[in-house]
Amino acid sequence: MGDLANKPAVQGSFHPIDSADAAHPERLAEVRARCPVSVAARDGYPSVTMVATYEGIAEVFRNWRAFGSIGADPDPDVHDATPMELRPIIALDPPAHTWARRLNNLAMAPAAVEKALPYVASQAAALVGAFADDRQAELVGEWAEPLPGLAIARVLGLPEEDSGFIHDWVVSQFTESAAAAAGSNYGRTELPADEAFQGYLLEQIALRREDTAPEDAMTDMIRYRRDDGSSFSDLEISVHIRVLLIAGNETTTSLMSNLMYRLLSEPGLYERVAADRALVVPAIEESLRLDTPLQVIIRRANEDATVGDVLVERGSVIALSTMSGNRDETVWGEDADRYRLDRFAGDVERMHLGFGLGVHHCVGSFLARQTTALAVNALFDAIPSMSLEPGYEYENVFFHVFHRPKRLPVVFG
Amino acid sequence: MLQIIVDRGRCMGAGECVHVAPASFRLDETVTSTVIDPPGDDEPALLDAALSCPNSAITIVRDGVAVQASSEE
Repeated sequence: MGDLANKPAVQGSFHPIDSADAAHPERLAEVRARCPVSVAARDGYPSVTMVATYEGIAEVFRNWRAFGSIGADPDPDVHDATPMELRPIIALDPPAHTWARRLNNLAMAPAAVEKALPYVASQAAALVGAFADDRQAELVGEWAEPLPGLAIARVLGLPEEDSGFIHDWVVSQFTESAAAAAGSNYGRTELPADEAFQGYLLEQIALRREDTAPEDAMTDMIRYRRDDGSSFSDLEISVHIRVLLIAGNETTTSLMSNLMYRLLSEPGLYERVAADRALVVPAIEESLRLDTPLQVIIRRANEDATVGDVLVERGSVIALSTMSGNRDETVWGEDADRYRLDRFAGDVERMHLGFGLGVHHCVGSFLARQTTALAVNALFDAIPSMSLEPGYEYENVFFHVFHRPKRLPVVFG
Repeated sequence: MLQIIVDRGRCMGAGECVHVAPASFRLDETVTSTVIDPPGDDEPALLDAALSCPNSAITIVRDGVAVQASSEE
């Protein structure tokens, strides 16, 4: 491709790092129509090259040599200042990423996760049972928040009684006040070290270096060795566990909440899926597409590179708007903004961007899908009909990365 | 003689293999990667499929020896 073919990115009005914009995914249609690759600049926010089309996003996801991972924080200085062994898996590229991924797969592969699913099913039933006779519930707080935390704790081997404390720690990372404490008006992912929580993780790791180590996934991770015989240090293991706990808590909560919001927003939809459980899987996949829980993913150009026919200069921070790609009309049709139960029915290829594409495809995707299916089936089993509380208005959580309602009050029975 | 092995306990149905080597892999009804018999892609594409798998679920074996689908070039 000659230089003349490269068009410079134009400046757009939508800033994917600004929570106020990110709360309005319907505005992305205009961004996509005007320019697939644009530069988002705004006082107080980092400038990023925003990719809005499915095709452009897929291209960047799959070209990890040209577009490196620097974590979720759009400030590249945070990444560059982080020593290699403290970098989370979302800030690594192959070959270091490959070994870290294999380490994470010890806990998150379907064969490992399946052992925890009977427990997750029983916990889902218990959570629903606690409010099933009350005729009302707040589904985010009473259902979507507690279950994923219990599930990931069980999968890793962490004590069940610690899941509440872990969840509180995860939530504390993503509040407006946490962002302000980090000196920022947008959500930051690299926050000051939390010594108490780090101490807890190192204690759990130390337990598993003893002869009396429990046979669980964390012990497997500690015993894992790369091909050259080297193992992961306690510090490295703690970084990977932290990311699994954050992702395992917050993003599955988002998926569960988003799914229920859609099923309750169209009259009769909840009841239809409750009566035909074959619709559960297509309902989950369509939720992952339309209400992408992680709506923006960060990359950085390692070299001058192109996205489509647009030149992206070396060093540019790139914001992949997975939310926009998941609503791209050229891929999903003119009704891309609509929630449809038949979009993924009978279609086993689920190439939406809900879990990303390429080597960083969500390591927890199997657990997230299974947990959500068990959770929603537990609701259907106990409560055949349900509605949003009259007068309910959707409000998105703070933090540009996440898409989910803050609350979901429902009435039934 | 090339042999393609999919570890079904590791596959999460990401579908990258189907994208890279569509004549050799498909997702079955449980959304798990399955090898098409006979596979229709050349060796570089098959190695790329193994390398692209986020879950290291694919191994390519040539004459009884696993081929290093390594990203460490």
